Amino acid sequence: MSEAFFTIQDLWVRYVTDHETVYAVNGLSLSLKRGQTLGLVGETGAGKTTTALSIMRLLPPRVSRVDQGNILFNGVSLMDLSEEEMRRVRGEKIAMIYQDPMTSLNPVMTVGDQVQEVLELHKKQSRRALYKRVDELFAMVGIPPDRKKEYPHQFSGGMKQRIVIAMALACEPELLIADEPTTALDVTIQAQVLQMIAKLKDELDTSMLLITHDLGVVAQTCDMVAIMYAGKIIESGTVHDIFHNKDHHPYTEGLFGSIPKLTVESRRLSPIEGLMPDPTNLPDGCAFAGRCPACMPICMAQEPDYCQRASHAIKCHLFTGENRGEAV
Amino acid sequence: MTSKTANWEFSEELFEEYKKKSQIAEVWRRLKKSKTAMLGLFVLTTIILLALFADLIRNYQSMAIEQNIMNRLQSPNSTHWFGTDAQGRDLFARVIHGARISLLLGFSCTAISVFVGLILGSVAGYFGGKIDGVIMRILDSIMSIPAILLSLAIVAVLGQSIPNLIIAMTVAYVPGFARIVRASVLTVIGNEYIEAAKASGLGTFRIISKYVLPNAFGPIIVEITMSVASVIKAVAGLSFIGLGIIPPTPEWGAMLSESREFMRYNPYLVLYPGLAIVLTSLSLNLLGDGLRDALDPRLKD
Repeated sequence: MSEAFFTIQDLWVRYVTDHETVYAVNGLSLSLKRGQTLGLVGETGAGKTTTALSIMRLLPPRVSRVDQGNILFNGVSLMDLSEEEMRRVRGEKIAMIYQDPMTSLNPVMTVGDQVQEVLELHKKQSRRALYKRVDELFAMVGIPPDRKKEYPHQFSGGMKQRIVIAMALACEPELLIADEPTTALDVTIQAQVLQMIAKLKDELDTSMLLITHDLGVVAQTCDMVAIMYAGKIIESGTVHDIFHNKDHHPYTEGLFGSIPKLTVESRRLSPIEGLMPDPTNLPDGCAFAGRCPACMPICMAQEPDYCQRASHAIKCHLFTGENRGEAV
Repeated sequence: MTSKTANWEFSEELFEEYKKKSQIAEVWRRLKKSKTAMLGLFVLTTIILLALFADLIRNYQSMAIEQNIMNRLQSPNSTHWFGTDAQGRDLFARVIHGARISLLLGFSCTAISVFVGLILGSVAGYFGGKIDGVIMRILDSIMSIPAILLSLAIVAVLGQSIPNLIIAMTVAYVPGFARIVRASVLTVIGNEYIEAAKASGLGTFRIISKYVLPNAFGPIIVEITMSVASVIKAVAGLSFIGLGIIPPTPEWGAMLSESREFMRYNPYLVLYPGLAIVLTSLSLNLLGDGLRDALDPRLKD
């Protein structure tokens, strides 16, 4: 397998307002190999979207601060690019699919024009080639190209998301960031859209960062998984590591516990008690300690290191130091 | 998926079809459906045509300018359709010749202030922060001076002429437009499609002109249609103080203020110029309303 072409190294992002400082991403590192899909999983407020926006360099300018960290893309640091160079990366090299297709298309432009605009911007070509390519893209995502003269409100949610996907893939980007692409769609369409993304991704040999809170989606589409909690990755590995290995971070255990199982009869789901720690006031030690069923004194005082086993990494005291082996 | 997408062939006919940019035809088709908008367009066109061909209908020098005391204060009749004024000038001739100056002032002031207001307002709204603060505080300080006083001061400094009048009125009207544009821009800017546009690498100018402004245009169009009439009235105010149009040049607002001594017994003197202002602004309003609906694809059909 090829080397990682995209890495985030120790990224720290804060939002600073007059009232408070929100620690959104706290030392996040991850890497992605060409053609792979990485699932970034975590609950609301874990910093997933902030991570995505940092990659695109689209964090709200006045309140956000990137304190530390580097994002390398094909060996080039995105942090060092000028705004002009960054604009050429957006849409062409790295594209993004937003959560809500209802609001991510311009209501006063025909969908064809919107797809065409991305192409015009990044790929100089003749008009004939341009129109042809737009038609191909529409056909590729399963929308009859003669509908490209229509406006977004004339499409259903699922179709709009396909158009958004067509826009994102228009320039055959090397990296696709999908920020909860199926959350706003109903379940029957979700699977269709995911399959389509996965298929197109393979055809175009694009890597994907899939942001989601749905473990089912992850199992279906991802090669690698990173589980995020309070701005940190607390467990990462291959899909096999996460879904089949015995040892897990207690938070991951909790996530799996919150999903109904087909094979076990249970009256209620077992949710994770409590809420995520206040991101304006993160605790010392492990961020999950307050909700952790296996919490030990050391968890409150000291932040755990990663315990690395082959491709599987867990950030928990249960698996490090003298506690090693006593784990559940 | 449907066979329609699976076997899609890009053909020569399709290319020809796509080449035709039908946006304007589409807007026109939708505009035609609105009866009120077409009425507005008809009235406005009539007024503009009358103004353009005024010389062919009534002679400027002999009918609209030269005094003829013998004929003074005639009620409307077959030779003087709208009657005559206190100096015996044909009111119809003065109304249609006055249309030239009134429309010129109304449209040019509005057009220039809309243009400047669009730039300032969208820049302030889009970028926010310091740029917003600087632009808006300057405009606020202009706004704090009453419009008529400001125009008066500018005309007094620059001298009395039609171009200077246009400059004076424009300065007074820009802040209002900029504020409305900024407010509409702010309602649009939080939408996800703006961020999606940034994420596809679009430049600031393109985002403002193709994504922000078209979505913010509703309130702006309404303000534009109101402003033409308001400029004509403001010019009347300046003429009244003696800093607007120099008499005997006919201008609707000036005609209104000249007639105020006689309006008790000769009400037609204010009726016709007044009607001209009302019709112009009403037709613009109807047209503007229809245009706003025609431009919004969500209201299609």
